[in-house]
Amino acid sequence: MAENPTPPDQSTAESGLVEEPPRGPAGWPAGRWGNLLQWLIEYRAFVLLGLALTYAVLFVPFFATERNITQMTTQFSIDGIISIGLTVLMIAWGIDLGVGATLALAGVVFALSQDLGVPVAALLGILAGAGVGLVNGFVVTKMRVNFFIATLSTMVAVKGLTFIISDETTIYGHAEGFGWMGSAKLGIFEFPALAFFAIGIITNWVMTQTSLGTYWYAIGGNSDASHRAGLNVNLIFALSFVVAGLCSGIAGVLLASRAVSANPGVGRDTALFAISATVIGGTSLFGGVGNVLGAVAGVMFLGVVRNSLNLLGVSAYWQWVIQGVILVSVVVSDVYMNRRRRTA
Amino acid sequence: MESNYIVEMKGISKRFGSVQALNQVDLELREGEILGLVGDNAAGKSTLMKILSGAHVADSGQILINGEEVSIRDPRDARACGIEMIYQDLALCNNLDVARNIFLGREYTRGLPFLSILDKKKMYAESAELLARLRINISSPRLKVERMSGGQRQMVAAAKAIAFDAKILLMDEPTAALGVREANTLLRLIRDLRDSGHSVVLITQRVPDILAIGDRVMVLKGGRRQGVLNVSEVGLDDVVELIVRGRAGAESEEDALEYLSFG
Repeated sequence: MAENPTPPDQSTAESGLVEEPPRGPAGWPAGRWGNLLQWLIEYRAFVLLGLALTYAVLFVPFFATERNITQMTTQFSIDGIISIGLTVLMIAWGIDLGVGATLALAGVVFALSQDLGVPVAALLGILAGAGVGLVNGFVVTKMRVNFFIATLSTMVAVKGLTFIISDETTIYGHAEGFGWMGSAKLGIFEFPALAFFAIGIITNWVMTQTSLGTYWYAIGGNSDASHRAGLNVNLIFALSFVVAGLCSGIAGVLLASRAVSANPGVGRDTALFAISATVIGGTSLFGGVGNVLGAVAGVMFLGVVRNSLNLLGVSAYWQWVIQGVILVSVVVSDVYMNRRRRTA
Repeated sequence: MESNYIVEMKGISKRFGSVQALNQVDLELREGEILGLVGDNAAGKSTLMKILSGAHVADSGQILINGEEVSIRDPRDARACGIEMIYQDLALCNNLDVARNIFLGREYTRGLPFLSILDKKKMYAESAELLARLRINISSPRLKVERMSGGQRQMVAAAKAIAFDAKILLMDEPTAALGVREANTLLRLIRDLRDSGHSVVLITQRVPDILAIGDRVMVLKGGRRQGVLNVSEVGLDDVVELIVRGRAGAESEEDALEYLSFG
């Protein structure tokens, strides 16, 4: 059409229809600084991780020892796997407050069914986690319950169920190979850490390279528009709860295997750690924004901080205070960024 | 039966509770024209377009596409007829880039059926081509919608609609939230679409817009059609007169003046 200077183009001149230069949204600094700022915010977890690592290596005694690295990575990886699942869920604009309860249930199911053989038992534990996610997805999408209330309710129910089936006691692993997954080692990394990195890479691939990943971003960004584009919004949203449940299940089985026992009371602080790491990793509480690699870095950052505080002998109570302060400041910055995005 | 109309709506009526939103309204849209749909608030413009796009179902009346009667009961039926509504509140995901928005739900994929891998290269290439063809001034199809201006977003919404063979575009107040320059750019795009054979119904409060680019303008008032005017034969005053007074001419001069000052 550009090479067709007929009446339409004349009227362009007459009615003053002119090309409009592209511009950024309101509220962003223009040009390079705006891009740098956005990059820093999107990848803040990597920056924080770099700073924390530098400090820890230089100033924290015993941090950079093989034994400590092995222990630390295993420790943050189990909660980290849950963070990855929560990242997917939060990008789709949901949340699961009951990931800790699901973790405990999966461990107990794993331990209770160990006589079926460890692989089968592990699968059952993981499926129990996915099942809780399925229930959450069903309650939220079909029964239209707010996801905070829904996951809080299933959390309580799952907790009760876990204590009932475990008879309120810790179940010890006696089957051959029960503890293998928690302690097998490759180089300086144990199996949970390898699983964490592998799940991170796979999930990141799904989120960036597949249509399903795009759909999770889409429904979190604008579920009306996604519906109009013909997406099955309920099914896609429910699936994100299943992913969170699945990851909690995997974490529960790994934790039980590592401890060679399943304690029905574990997982009380899991949701706090996992949600903090996810939000530090750049995932918004308001849906549609986030990335899995950021969450991985967020997990590692919190893991390094927790480990360093332990090595420095800071009391557990101060650690809670510090973790709470980190979470609040991250949430505040997320709320601020979200306000900016919406007004842009 | 007239067959040079791509869309004919005949005797459309719609009632919401006690409100008669539309009363025996006819509409004809020719192939390759821009039809303005104007009228006061609550005149029934949006309701009529929502019926054509399947968001509402009429209580009575017929819809004909290319002379054949069709049943449009939901947006999917409308899409099958080549009708696409571009909504005022924008049916875009701001957190996705241009290409992902254009192809949302209809991605090019390959590989596994349960986890289909996006053919991003093809999607970006086709999006860039589409933007260029429509002369839409957006630097890259990788740009996220949230980093774009209101006018650019409207244009992406239009590109998304026509990327998949929509022949009939329904636009509800597309320029309402835009500045003058952006509105003009968007109007130019609408005219380009018409020139490439698309038919457009443009709901607008800004009568001068439709006089600048439209072919005909249809006036609704109180859920009834007041008349259809050829843009080349009338001026702003004629259209406003019809909007304010209707055929009978009932209301005061001040209303007309108020309306004129809006335009």
